[in-house]
Parts: sequence; structure tokens; C-alpha cells
Amino acid sequence: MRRLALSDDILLKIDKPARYIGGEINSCMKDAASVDIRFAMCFPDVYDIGMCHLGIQILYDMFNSWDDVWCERVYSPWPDLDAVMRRDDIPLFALESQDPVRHFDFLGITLQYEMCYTNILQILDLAGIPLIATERSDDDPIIIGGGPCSYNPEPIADFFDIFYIGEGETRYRELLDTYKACKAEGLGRLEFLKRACRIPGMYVPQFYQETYNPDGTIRERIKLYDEAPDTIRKEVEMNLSDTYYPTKPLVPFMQTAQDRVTLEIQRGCIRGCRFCQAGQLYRPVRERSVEYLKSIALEMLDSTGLEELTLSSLSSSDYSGLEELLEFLIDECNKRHVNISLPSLRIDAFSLDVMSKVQDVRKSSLTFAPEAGTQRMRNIINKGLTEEVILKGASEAFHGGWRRVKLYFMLGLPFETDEDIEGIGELCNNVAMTFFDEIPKEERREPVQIVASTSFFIPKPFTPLQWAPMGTRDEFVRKAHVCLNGIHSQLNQKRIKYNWHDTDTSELEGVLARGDRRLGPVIMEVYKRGQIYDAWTEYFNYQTWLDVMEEMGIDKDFYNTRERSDDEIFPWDFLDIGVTKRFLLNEWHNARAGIVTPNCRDKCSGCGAAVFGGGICFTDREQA
Amino acid sequence: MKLRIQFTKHGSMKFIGHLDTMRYFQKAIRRSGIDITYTGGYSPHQVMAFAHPLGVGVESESEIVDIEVNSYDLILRDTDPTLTGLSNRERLLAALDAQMSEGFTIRDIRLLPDDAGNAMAFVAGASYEIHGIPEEMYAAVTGVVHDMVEAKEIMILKKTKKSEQLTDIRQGMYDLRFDDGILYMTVDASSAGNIKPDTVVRAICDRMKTNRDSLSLSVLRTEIYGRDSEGRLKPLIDFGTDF
Repeated sequence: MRRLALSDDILLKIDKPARYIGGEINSCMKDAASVDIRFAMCFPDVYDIGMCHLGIQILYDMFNSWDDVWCERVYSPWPDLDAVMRRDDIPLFALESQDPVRHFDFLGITLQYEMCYTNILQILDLAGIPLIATERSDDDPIIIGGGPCSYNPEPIADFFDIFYIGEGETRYRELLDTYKACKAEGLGRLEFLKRACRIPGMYVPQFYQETYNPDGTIRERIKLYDEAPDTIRKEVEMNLSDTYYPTKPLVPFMQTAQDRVTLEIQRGCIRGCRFCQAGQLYRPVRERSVEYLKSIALEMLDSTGLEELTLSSLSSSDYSGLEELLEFLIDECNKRHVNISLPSLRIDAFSLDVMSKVQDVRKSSLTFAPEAGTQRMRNIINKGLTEEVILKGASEAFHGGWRRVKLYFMLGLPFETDEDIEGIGELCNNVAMTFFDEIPKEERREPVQIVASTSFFIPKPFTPLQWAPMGTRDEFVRKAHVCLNGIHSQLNQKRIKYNWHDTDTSELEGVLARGDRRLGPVIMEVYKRGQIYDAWTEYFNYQTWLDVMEEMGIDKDFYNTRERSDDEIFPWDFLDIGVTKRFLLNEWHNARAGIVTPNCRDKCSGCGAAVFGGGICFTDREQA
Repeated sequence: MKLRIQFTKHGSMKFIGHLDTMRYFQKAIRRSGIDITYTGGYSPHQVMAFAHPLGVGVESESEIVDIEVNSYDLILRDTDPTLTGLSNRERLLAALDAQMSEGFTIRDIRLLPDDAGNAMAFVAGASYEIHGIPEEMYAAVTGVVHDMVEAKEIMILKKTKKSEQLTDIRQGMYDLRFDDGILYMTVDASSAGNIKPDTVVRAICDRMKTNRDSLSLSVLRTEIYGRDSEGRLKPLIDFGTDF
């Protein structure tokens, strides 16, 4: 029997002890003495959220396929256990061995959203690892970050030894071999980092420094170690049909956020919506082959016994083998009494037909993401969805029996006017009108329900809108009311429900997203004042952040509300995602002019991602 | 056909709550290939019923779950060489046991008669062992247990969400012994008169003027019973037969 790090007394007093005991189906046990490298892989949020993350499952499976490595998992202890661990001096442990993380060789932390930054410090602190990278000794683990937020790692640069820029499948073997070689030669931490920074994709922040202009913008980056590269290009796995995929994914005991088999069908997106970071970061579009997906889907269903399967991609409808894949999956899932969930599908005749086969039409709702209320605004953000297409989709859906429609929008987009916001209400009303125009009275027993949700636009690095100003809290509140009034003035307003996203979180996320190294001390101080779990509204305390920023002389408006000049140096400019800054700037100018850019399948716009030598950039385009 | 599965739950698995244990078995049965019956509709469910929920923190030698199957075949696993040459019962047992995580084991599978009722409604009693009583308390516990066995009634304050009520637990306390530092009890586990083992432990502690929460005890369920035609307690698994 495995020994647990926490006593029975503690486990019986805290909420959901199953978060901390490990031992799940398909978790990997190895003999610690027989491996060279112990890797702790951390998602800095609670187990229930972190367990569902596909990226970690892929890396966990890859690492453990290597005999010399044992990869284990770590999640943020919930505040109830956090307090007990601090009180009783219990060091943070990994779930599999239940051994202290401090004694591991590596601690990998995935950076999925900015609001988890204080949780990173919680993890390091509970583990007993110095928070600042340059204060660590040869006995401390190497702290390595990766994931979407590593594309602007500067606000948290102080806390990491390495950021792995790009997809994990490609360079970890090389990094671990370098580590083993350094260990064998008796070389310490600094020597290892000096070698590591010469491996493609590895960014070692302590080898660089930023200097600033009097107006606060970045003047230049100075290298503190001559051999460190000037730019770091992201890593990409170009053959997604012959690579690591967790065919035996972990099956948690407790109910988690997404209890299902995840089938990642492709990476990247052809669409190029100008607000979307993922759409730029993961270029070029690379599909997995249908044959590969069929085989791993069956393996995963059989090895987990999960009762639901979902497709994962940024835009599933754009996957070229979708019809063949779905036909196969529906058939196999029916045999196994497994449900299929189909997110990110464009609403059209094909998808409605598929959905009517896999779900109860009366109980399910359909989702459209127009993102903006008017065509003018949708052209600015390059969202190629027209009102005509939405209404046609809605009409087909109503005829098919659906009665619930969800519509997602953003407020605070650049060049937005109040008419654009009021357009949200009009669009929702037109969807309702479609229902009343097209569905005869006798079939209207169940009324139509429209839910409009707005979130606040947050400009993200490596998007065409990275130059754009972001709205303030007060502006957002005003805009939400404009939107609400716009909906209330509609004929069918009783059929439309309106939700909007919390403004404080959005504002802070904006600061952290486009921040620089001057924010490191702010995050540290906020953490020291007891702040963790900022991603959870019940624990988020914006006032603490505002207080600390003010005391440290940090102006949030500098990061958020300023329109950046075309030639400004951004904190993330030294990273190379393939897509060039020149292309993004051109797109920013196109946004201002309302010019639409075609998607990658229709026409190449020369974004720069072709430098990776594969994917859609080298696929024959259909003749228009 | 209705099958009755008997399993154990030990070690860290005692922290897996009842609902999670149910979900765990649903997945284990899918992986095993057992040809379980599903309900119809858009979200089909396995026909499965647990006899009695086990509290978080309690280990067990004998948990019972009943399932309905269409056949004794193993779906998608009929070619597994380790399962050939076995009887139906042995094959299903081996297939399901192979899917258990550390701490769970499948002890037995039996065929129930067609007219067997709902497992939950059928439960009459359960036996428990309480371990970890400090040695210096042995003498006092022996005395209190003797008094409780001799007592005509043992009134305790039962707290529910809405009210507090005085209830007698003596009638439902079928057996209570203290031997070699282990407290053994067999109590009513029916839906009408269920007695939690901790209720008995608290009653003992109260009589000894000891704070229950200061003790680190471990609780082990050893058996779940139904009643046979003569009204005697009989282990639930023994209502089934080989197949």
C-alpha cells in the first residue's frame, strides 16, 4: 500500500480528500531509485480543474514512456489544506509517490491563464523552494514554465529558471539529456541553464534584462550572458499523426470539470480572428489523420471506461476529415453507450444533423459566437460570421426542434461605438423574430430562449489587437448597461436573457497579459499579503492588487488603456512564433480600416508561419 | 440476469466517497467488457444498485453492488487469453478484478434469482470493527460495552438537518463485543433503522466522558446482511449462487 503524505486526520477534515491521494486508474507508478530524473508536472489550480488539462496528460504520458524519467502530478492545494500545510509545516508533495516536490529534479508549471500567477508562488512556497530563480541552490528543482502565458512570460520571469516556448513534444528529451550530462559532469545549476538556453525553444529569463525609456516603454533588452540567443522561436510538432498521445489517460475518482475522453483533432486555426491569441500562437494549422484519430479514440475509450468523448480544436468544423471521423465515432460510441459532445462546431445543416444524432434536441442549446453586434465591428475583428449565416443557422435549428440559442459577444473592442453595442440586442431580436416568422404557432409550445453573454475584450500579446487600448472598469460597466438597454428596447426582449462577465478580473488580466518585468514584485507582494486563487471569484481580492500597484508606483492604465505606437518594443518581442510582427501590424491597420483578411484555406496571407515548413501552408488550396 | 458483486475497499480508497465509488464502478465495468444492461434514451445508464453507502474514511471487507447483464459475454474482450477455460463466474470475476485500482478487489460474483428485490431495500444489518482504541482505555471500554449490552434501551440524540430527536439504538444493536482491543458490532443497516458505527462509538465515549474527536480510530465494515426466510441475518452475497 502507498503511504500518503497527509494523515487520516487531516484528510478527513478537509474538503474532497480524493484530490490529494493519487492512485487513479492509469496513473503511473515507478521505482524512484531506478529513474534518473524525477519530474513534477504542475497545474497551478485545484485538482478538479487541472486534471482535465490535455497538455499535461500528453506530457505525463510522454515522460513516463521514457524509462529514465518518472513524471508525477502536482495541483494547488485548496485554501483549506493550504492553511493546514502552513500550520503543520507539511511540504508540498507529488500525487503518485507522495514525496516532497522539493527533492525533484524538475518542477514544470503550466501557464494557462494569468489569474493563476499567485498560485505559482503558493506552489513554490509550500514546496519550500525559493520564489526567486536566482536565489535557488543546486539542490532545488529546475522550475520550468510552458503553455499560453509563456508567450509573455515577463511578469513572472523572476520566478522561473526556464520557459519552454512552444509544444512540449519536441525538445524535452534533449533538455533532460543535457540535464543528465551536467549532473554526470558535476556541473551546477547555472552551468546547466547556460547549456539549456542554447536548446531551441528554451528561454532562460535570468540571462536578460530590460531597460526602459522615460515614458515607461521598453528601450531595449540586454543580454547578461553572451551565448544566450537574441530571439527564441517557438517549438512545433509538425507530424501530429505520429507523436505522443495519451492513449491511457488518467481517470480521476472524483468528478472533475470535464470528465471525458478528449480527442484533439488538430492544432491551429485557419480563421485569424484578430482578438484571438490561440489563433496566432498555434499556427500553422496541422491536422491529425482520420486513421490516427480513429485508433486513439477507441484505445482511450477502452482504457478509461469514460462515458463521454469530446473533440478538441479551435474550430472543429474546419477539420477536413470531420464527416468521416464523426460517422465512425457516432457508430463506435453508440456501441459503447458513450455520449459525444461537439464543441466549436459551426451551425449548419451538417452539424445540426450530427447533433440531432448525438443529443436530445429539446434539452440542448446551440451556440453562436458572433463576438460583435454589427457587421462593421465583425469586419474589424475579422470574424467572418455574417448575420445572414447566423439567422439561416438559427432557422434550420428551430425547424430541427432546438429552442435554446446562446450567443457570445465581446464588449470594449477597438473602434467600438454605442451603435455596435446596441447591435447585440438587434441581432438577438432578429434571432427571436426568425423563430416567430418561421415556426407555426402550433409548434411553438416550448418558447424560444436566447441567452446573450458578453465578456470584456482583453488585448493579448501576438494578436493584431496587441496595439489596442483596453477599456477601464467604468467603461465596461457603462457598456454592459448600453448592451442591456439595447436588449430591453427590443420587441422580443422577454425571450432574451443577458449575462456579463466580471469587470475587475478582466482589468487585472489585461495588466498581466501585456505586462513586463516590473510586475514581478507586484505579484510577489500580493502573494505575501495572502492572496491566492485569483481565478476564483470567492477568493479574488482586487483591492489588494490595486493597493500594491499604487504603493509600488505601478500604473495599471500604462498597461491597459494606452494605445501603443506602431514602433513600440513589446516585452514579448524577443519570442518568435513564426507569425511576424510585420504581419500583425498590417492586420492592426486592416482592423482600423475594416478590411477582412481571408482564412488560410482560401488564401495565404503570408503571416510567416510557413517558416515551420508544413501544415496548411503547404497544403493545396481548393480552387475558389 | 441479475448479478451480485462483492468487493473490498481498503487503504487510501477509503477517502473515495459513495458517489465517486459508484462512478468508479461504472467505468470499471465498461473497461472490463461485462455486458451490462443500459437504460434507454439519450443518456443511457447502467442498471446498477449499491446495497449500502459506505462513509468516507471507512474501509470495508464486503461491499455489495448488484448489476443487470444481458449475457455472460465480455464485450470487445472475448479474445483475452487469460480469461479462457474459466467458468462464467470466474471469467467475469477475473475480468472485473483486473480493472481495480490498488485498494479495491473483487471478492465474488454470484447470480441472483430473477425475483430478487432491490439490494438497498433488502439490507438488514452490517458488521463493523473499530480499531485504534488506546490501551489505557481497554478496561473502561470493556465495562461500558458490558453495561450497554445489559441495558434495555440506549437513548441518543439524533440530529438531522431539521430537528433533534431522542432515539433508542439498543434495539438495532444486534451484537457488541470488545476483544483484544478491537470493538466488534453488528447493527441495523436497514433504510428505516440504520445505525452508523460512529453513533455507537460516540455513545460509548459519552459514557466514558471521553471526547470522541480526540481519538484516531479506524473503522472497518466486515459484512452486510439481508434476512433469510426465517428472519435470520445472512450475508448478502450468500443470497446468490454460482453460475
